[in-house]
Amino acid sequence: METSTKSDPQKVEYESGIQYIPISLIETNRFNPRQRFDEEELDELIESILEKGILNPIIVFKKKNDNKFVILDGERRYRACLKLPDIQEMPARILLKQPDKLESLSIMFHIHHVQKDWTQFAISMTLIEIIQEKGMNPEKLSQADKKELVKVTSLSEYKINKYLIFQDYPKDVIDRFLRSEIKGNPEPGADPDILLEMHRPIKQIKQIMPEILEQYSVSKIIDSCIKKKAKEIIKTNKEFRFLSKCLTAAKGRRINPHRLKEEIIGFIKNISTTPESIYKKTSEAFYQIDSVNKSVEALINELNDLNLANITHPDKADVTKKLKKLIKLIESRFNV
Amino acid sequence: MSKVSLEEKLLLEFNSPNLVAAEELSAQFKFRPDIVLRNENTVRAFIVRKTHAIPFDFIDRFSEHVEIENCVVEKYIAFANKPSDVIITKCVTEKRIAVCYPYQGRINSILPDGGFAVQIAVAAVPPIYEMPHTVIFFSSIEEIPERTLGEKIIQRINAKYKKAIFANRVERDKLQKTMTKSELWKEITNSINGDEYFLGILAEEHSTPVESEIQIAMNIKDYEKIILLVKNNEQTRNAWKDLLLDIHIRIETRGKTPWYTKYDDLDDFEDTLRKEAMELISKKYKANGSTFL
Repeated sequence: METSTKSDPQKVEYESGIQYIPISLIETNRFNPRQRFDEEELDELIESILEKGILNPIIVFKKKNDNKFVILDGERRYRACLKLPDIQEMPARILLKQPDKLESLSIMFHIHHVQKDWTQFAISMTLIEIIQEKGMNPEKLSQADKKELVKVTSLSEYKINKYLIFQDYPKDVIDRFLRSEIKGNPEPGADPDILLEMHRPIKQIKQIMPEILEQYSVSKIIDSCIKKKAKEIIKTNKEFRFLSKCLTAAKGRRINPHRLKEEIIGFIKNISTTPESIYKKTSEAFYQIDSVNKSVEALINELNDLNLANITHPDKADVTKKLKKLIKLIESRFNV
Repeated sequence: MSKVSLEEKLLLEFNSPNLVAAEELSAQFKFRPDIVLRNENTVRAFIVRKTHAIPFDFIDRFSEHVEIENCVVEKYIAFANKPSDVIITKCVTEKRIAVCYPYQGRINSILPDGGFAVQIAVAAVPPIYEMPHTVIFFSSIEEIPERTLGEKIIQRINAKYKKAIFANRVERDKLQKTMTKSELWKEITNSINGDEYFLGILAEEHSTPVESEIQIAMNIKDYEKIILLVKNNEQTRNAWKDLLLDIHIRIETRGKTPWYTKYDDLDDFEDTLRKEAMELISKKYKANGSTFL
């Protein structure tokens, strides 16, 4: 084989030209996290191969001390070809040298993330493997660590944080979402964004009312959220943010934490209880008063700064305008 | 209690008498089954579907197999739910493939009338396919590596997929004949006209004859039969700016007109041309009523 090389942006060097490799010499990659191998998509791919052949070469590396080739990109094409015994060879681009585990993960990460054929959880799992392989602690990532991860994975820091959040959940919760993503028909309501939205409230519950978690596991709380989403009792994921608002108020002892605790238990137990209904019952009045208080305080500060004996006409107009605005605010907040 | 999978149910239902797994036989079928069992005189092959559907191409291919000595081959397609009547007819009546699906906790099977061994009536005259023959006229400067690589790509597709596809590089004929300039142009024009496809490769160096060939092709050939590959760098864009501008103007004013694909380097060129060539021969095979594979 020729060995002139080509570098791509990830500095992956390939042997020159597309090679044709016997299928019997091709192996799947053990570092490849579970992908969606949806039957319908695989059918479409098989039909396309029957009609057009394999249009895009797979990417492989040759194992040291072995004549086998391991797939970095193209496992789906490989699986499709396995169904067609007429195909005995696959076109492939071959890496010049066998990558180590980190390189292998990083190359797969780039390929599959760009192609969007890994599920969110597959990305999250591979990210953790990369973090561990780099000797970093996923729970205590420094800013430098995050910068390095951005470089290795091409993910934004926001996305890295997002995918790390998934790993804070217990394994049974992750497995439930993973199964739902991989299966052809996803579980109704099992939207991964629930985990992102519920991450903060669960963290707050752990801090200020840990007894709830002794009684109800995180899995149970998430199960309740999934069911509410499935039955469209909660329509948008943003609604979960009401819980965080309530818990923030309870943390500052601005509302009664015992009452909120009862409501949250009700949220876990009763399908019809929504975060918004809890907010309305426990915290809405506090936030309304808080907002009026802030406006009044700002107004008082301005009045203190004025010389009321010699108030000018524009200042008087300004104060009058602000007072009128305050009245409107009070009227709207308290349905006067 | 864990849920019993469809595969497990099939094995419970069909794994007798004395049948053993025979994965090595799966390559004897034109569409590889998921489970193959055999004993001395029977081979049972199963495709297991996660839905109630299957493309007809798969049924056609699964119905074909290499003869397995002294064995009756029983073929089954197991569906997750009852398939449509159309699929049942296609499998059971036309192709003598049994259909199974779970029903009230058991496997319900619809077997072909008269059993699996009965031969299907074959059409008296099998269809005769004409082997599609494809020639691509290569237009580029002779010295660029893309020209040689392009020919190599076409030759490999020809060899690997056993498809009659060829590259026409006129310099070969030119070397064998002595021609005047006008005779050469006539020869080139005839070739462009006669060869089904036209490939123009534009790299850093401009060539007036190549530009003329491309202009001729654009005027006499169907736009779908022209492939233009342009190296993706400033030098190439500058060298061929008039032609590229002309193509842009044609797009704006005439609509259906050839367009060009950019390539970054030789690897990208190989991927792109290989894909284009595979697409065009598959289109020809489809039009011919035959399949690519």
